[in-house]
Amino acid sequence: MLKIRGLEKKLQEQLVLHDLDMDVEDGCIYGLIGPNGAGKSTLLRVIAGVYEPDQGTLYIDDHNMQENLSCFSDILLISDEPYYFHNATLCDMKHFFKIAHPHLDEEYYHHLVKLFDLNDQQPLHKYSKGMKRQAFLILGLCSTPRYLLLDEAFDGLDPHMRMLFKKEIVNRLEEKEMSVIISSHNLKEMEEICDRFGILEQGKLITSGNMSERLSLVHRFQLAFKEHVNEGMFDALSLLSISIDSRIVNLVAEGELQELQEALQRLHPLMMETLPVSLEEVFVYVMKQREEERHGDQELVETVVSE
Amino acid sequence: MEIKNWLKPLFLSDQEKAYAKHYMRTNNRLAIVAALILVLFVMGYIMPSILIHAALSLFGGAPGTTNGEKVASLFISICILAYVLPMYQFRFLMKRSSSDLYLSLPIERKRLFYVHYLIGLLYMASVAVLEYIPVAFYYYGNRIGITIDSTWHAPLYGTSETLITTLLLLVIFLVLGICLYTFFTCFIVRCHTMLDGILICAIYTLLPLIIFYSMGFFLSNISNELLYSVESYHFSYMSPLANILVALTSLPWQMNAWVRLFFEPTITTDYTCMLLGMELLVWLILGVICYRNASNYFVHLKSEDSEQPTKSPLTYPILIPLVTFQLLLIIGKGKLISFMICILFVCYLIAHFFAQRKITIHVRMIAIYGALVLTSSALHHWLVRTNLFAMIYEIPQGDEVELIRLEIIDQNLNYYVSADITNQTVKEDILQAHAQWLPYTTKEQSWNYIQGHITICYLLTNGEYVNRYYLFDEAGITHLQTLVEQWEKEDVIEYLDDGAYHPTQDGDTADPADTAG
Repeated sequence: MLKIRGLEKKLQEQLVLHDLDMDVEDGCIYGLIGPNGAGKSTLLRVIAGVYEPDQGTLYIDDHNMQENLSCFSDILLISDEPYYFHNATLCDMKHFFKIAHPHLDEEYYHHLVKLFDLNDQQPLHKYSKGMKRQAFLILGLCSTPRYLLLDEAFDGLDPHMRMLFKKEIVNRLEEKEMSVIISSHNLKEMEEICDRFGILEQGKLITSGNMSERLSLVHRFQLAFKEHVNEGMFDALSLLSISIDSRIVNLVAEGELQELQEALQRLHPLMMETLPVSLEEVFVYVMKQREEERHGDQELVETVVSE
Repeated sequence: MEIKNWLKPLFLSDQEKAYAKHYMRTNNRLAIVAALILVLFVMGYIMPSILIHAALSLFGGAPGTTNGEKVASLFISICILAYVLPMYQFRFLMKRSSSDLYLSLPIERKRLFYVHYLIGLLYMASVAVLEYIPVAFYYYGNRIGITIDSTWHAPLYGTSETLITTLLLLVIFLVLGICLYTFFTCFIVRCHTMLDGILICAIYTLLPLIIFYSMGFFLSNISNELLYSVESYHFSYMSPLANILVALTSLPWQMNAWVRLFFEPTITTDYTCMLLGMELLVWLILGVICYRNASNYFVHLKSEDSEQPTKSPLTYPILIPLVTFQLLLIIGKGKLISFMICILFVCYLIAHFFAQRKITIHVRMIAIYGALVLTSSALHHWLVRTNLFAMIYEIPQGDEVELIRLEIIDQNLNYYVSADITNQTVKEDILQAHAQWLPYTTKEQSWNYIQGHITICYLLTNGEYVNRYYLFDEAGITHLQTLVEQWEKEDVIEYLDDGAYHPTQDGDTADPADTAG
């Protein structure tokens, strides 16, 4: 298990990560979600040992990674801008990766090269952006590290390739003892592939957990009432979002579905419909809630100061 | 067993070996550059020498005496490689994507540094050895020009083979080359862009030269201020300490000195051997310090700094003030001092803007410049007050003087006197007269009226020269004429207009070419 405690990292005097705690269980696909500049790439680089943390500790199976540098051999980072040697082919890069990760699976490599129809003898600089991405995803998967870190993994891939890769990642995880941490902006994809997730905002992990559990605790309801309603009627619910248009109410609330349904039934709606919620919506609601909390805090501070 | 453990870090593990092999295989550009240097070296230097020698032999001419400087070209290519290879070997630090890849490798950073350092070093050694082969064949095949038996080092190996001489030189050059390579590596790992790397290494290469010349100009300015004599560029005031410092820090000087030591039987060996031994030691110590420093810096390197402005204290933060200070010393105390200080300030700011890649002026920058101006000015005043620690004198002591060369020109009367004086009585007369004419001299070079001037050169018993050049204005010319007339009357020197032979009081004649030393 990969554990991060109290991580802090400054880049060019700017605090990029702070008070960050994170747990990545073995064998999971962890989706790292966050807006631009939240610190996702920095976090992956710290985990890979490229950046040294300013504060905090990283553990693999309770071994402090800073004290046991051999731990880093369990980690492979495929960055958003992968580097390859001058004139190197995919095959050359495979040899290079094999030095760092001697367990690189040659057979699986050839299988993936064939599957994605790449010429591994062609210099990488002649590949398109998407092909380069495929090439490095292949290298990452066949290197079989214990923790594979994919930064903006599916950028530049066409939908078919994305689907193939997602399938391969899942298959590989079933076969090998591997965990994958993926950072991406594409929440829909993350929802499809990840079993755990963490939302990073301003360098801090604001929420994390099991994807399906979390999604099963967030529900959207569409309600119609006989008379006009006001927001106060729904105060008892843990609301993430609410919009009232005369007698029609759209809301997203956190909690067990049955409890929420019972609570809403007590308001005697004419009609109530339960709709599925996507990860993207959860992300947007969480971000919105955080924004409101921040504004609330700011207003409170301003009030206290003015008083 | 203990030695074995001590040596262990020098050898590569299987993983490191595999990495090094792969690196060398995929970095064939390095081999191409090395081959190119080799070809240029052979084509441009060795081949013409061989052809000339062959032609001379063919047409019955005596084979030209080879000089050891042919071997010195070896060192030039070693120097080029020592400069280029660190940049190539550690270029991955200057790009974010590549530093991400390399620094995330599961190889201990200290070892990663060592592997890259070692590969560069092996390339340098290979090229040097390959270049040595034609040189060795050239010398061995011809066995010309050098009487090895008469050199100081011949008894060391009891043979007269030039091959051994060149081999020994190769080893010394390689050691110095490795030190230089390590020296540059120390700065390259601190640079975050390639441009910074090239610049910083170039500045460090030129730094001893910059310091030497700026100090020379600075001391010349002071001596000009203190002496009646004009145009007193007394670089000799810096010796012997400054010369030793330059010798210790300047590899081209060393290269030349080593070659001379090995190939010139007449060279004074004691002083040279001691100095060369010292500088080899200095460079070895410097090499060890630089390696440890570079390795430690690499271990704690922040990958996030790549492609960012270079901020390491050993780079721009120290070099900009240092070079500025040297330039402040050069501009001295001339009439345009304020203007020059302003111009230099602009240059100083531009250098800072370049270093930080943004146009921002900090108070600290201005304060440092102010401090540099004040320090250079204070240093100037201090040295003037102390007469450059009493090292500056207008006229040497009589017993120190071996020969006086005197040249008097009075353009007004179209009068010319030139003499080399060795006679003790005459020398004393001249020394006395020298003190008397000082009040009549001027430092103003005038183009409106014809001036007279005296050039006097003292050759001291320690082999050094003291040159003085005096200008006389219209009032001074009268004194000059009186002086010459008096000397003529006393038969000190004779009026001559051909300048070929110059009789002294004794009536001896001396050819200036013989007495020039």
